[in-house]
Amino acid sequence: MEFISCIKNFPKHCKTAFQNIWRNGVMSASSIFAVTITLLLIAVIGVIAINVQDMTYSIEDSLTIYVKMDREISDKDAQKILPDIEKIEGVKKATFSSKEDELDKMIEMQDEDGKKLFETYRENNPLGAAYVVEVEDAKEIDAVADKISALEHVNEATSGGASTSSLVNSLETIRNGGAVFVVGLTIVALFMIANTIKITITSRQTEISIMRMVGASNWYIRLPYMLEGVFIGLLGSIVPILVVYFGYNWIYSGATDFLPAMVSMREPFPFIWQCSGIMIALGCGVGLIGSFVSVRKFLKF
Amino acid sequence: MIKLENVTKVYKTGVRAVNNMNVDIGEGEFVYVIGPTGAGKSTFIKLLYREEKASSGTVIVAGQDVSKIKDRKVPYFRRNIGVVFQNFRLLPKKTVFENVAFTLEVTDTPRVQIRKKVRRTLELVGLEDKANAFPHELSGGQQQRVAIARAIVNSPKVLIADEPTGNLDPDTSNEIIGLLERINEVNHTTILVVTHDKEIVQKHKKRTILIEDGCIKTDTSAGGYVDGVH
Repeated sequence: MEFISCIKNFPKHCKTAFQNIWRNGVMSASSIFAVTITLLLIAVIGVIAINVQDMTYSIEDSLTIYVKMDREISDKDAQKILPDIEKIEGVKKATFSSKEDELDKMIEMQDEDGKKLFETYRENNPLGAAYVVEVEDAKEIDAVADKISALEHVNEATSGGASTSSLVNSLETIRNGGAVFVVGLTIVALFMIANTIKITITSRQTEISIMRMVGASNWYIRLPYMLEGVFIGLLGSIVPILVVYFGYNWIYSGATDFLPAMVSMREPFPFIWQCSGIMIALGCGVGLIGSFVSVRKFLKF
Repeated sequence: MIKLENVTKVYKTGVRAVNNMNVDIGEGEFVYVIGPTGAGKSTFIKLLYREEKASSGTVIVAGQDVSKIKDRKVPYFRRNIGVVFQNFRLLPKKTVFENVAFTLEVTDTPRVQIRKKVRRTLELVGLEDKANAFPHELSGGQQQRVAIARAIVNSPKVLIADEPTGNLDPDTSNEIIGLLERINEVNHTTILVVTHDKEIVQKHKKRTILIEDGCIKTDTSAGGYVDGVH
């Protein structure tokens, strides 16, 4: 019965919640401000962290093993070991590059004179065929390279050695550090919001006791406060969303000009909408739960 | 209407605030509860509206055994009882009309009914022209009238007033008690007034219960004698 009455009175509770926000102007404004600041903080740090993460992944993805085959064997024979490479654990993709392709690549890298010089090797190609191997996990790149070199007819498998693994390790550290930072910041921010709402509600302790005195059921008292928390969260997320929307678009259009493709930023859409959704959910959710918990304290008999 | 049988209330701190009390207050009665500070008056009335539970004995108000009411049901029980406090306890951010209407809103009264009842009650307490004022714009006596209007608007069977005149000057106090008398006559509400004000008890003579050390020392209806009153 209580539940039905709550549903029936929902518009009235919404009105009461808005009225409370309006009439407790200063308190509400400070709550909304706190939500705005914390969400802004989360948004900025979160957006940076996600982009850095994307970039580190794309750098890792671009790390490959260069497998040189023995010069003596023909393209046909070289292609035969493709299944063997693909069988190795951790190999994502192996691309074959024939002797001819290798020479083309080499000529491409030379200046005019060099090009002419290397063209003469067309007839009698001294280069061996090669494979470009992508790995699933950049951390295993060395191990995979070792396994490939052990195969027959493989002359050399290079992964960049120690410098590559140290790069991979530092990228990993950046990612993990960023994640821990964002999670920690989010928790702190959520406590801040919940606390502000708690102060807002504690200041209305008498109001709650009066409501109980005249026979308001617990849900009747609780609901407007919870809605108030939701509205405060909603109002507080407006500015952060606008900042992310315009700010990210602005930075994105500016950054694409000078950032190399490998470390490009994430596409603005639907990324901005996802961020906005998360911010609204955070603001409203914390508002809802924060006020629920704060009111509960005063509803005990 | 109100019946206490061998009621004892011992607080967690070990204080025995009410000690084996027996009272019987009938329907439509107007009763003063007096006694020195710390005698147990407040505990006595808190037991009536279930702010406190009795440690032993039975408290019956408006036909319900108060200590047997589940926590969840307490709000519904309280709709049978109006309470008025010394410090008025109005909702400061609501207008006079909204304050009085609030009692009816929580009980899902239709809006038309609410308006009608609130108007009538505000007329009864003489504040029909202050409906849109906020509590801080009113004098103490007027605020207490609003509090009384809020307490009686849903026609409770019992009205409990805890030191209703404690913050008011003698003339206003007289008016407030006069108002309570009128409510008692018009609505036949059982009224309990806790007071320190000897002048009032002497001026408006009613049944008077004197509480001392958690017990009923004298009860004028039983032919008792009250110190300093007669």
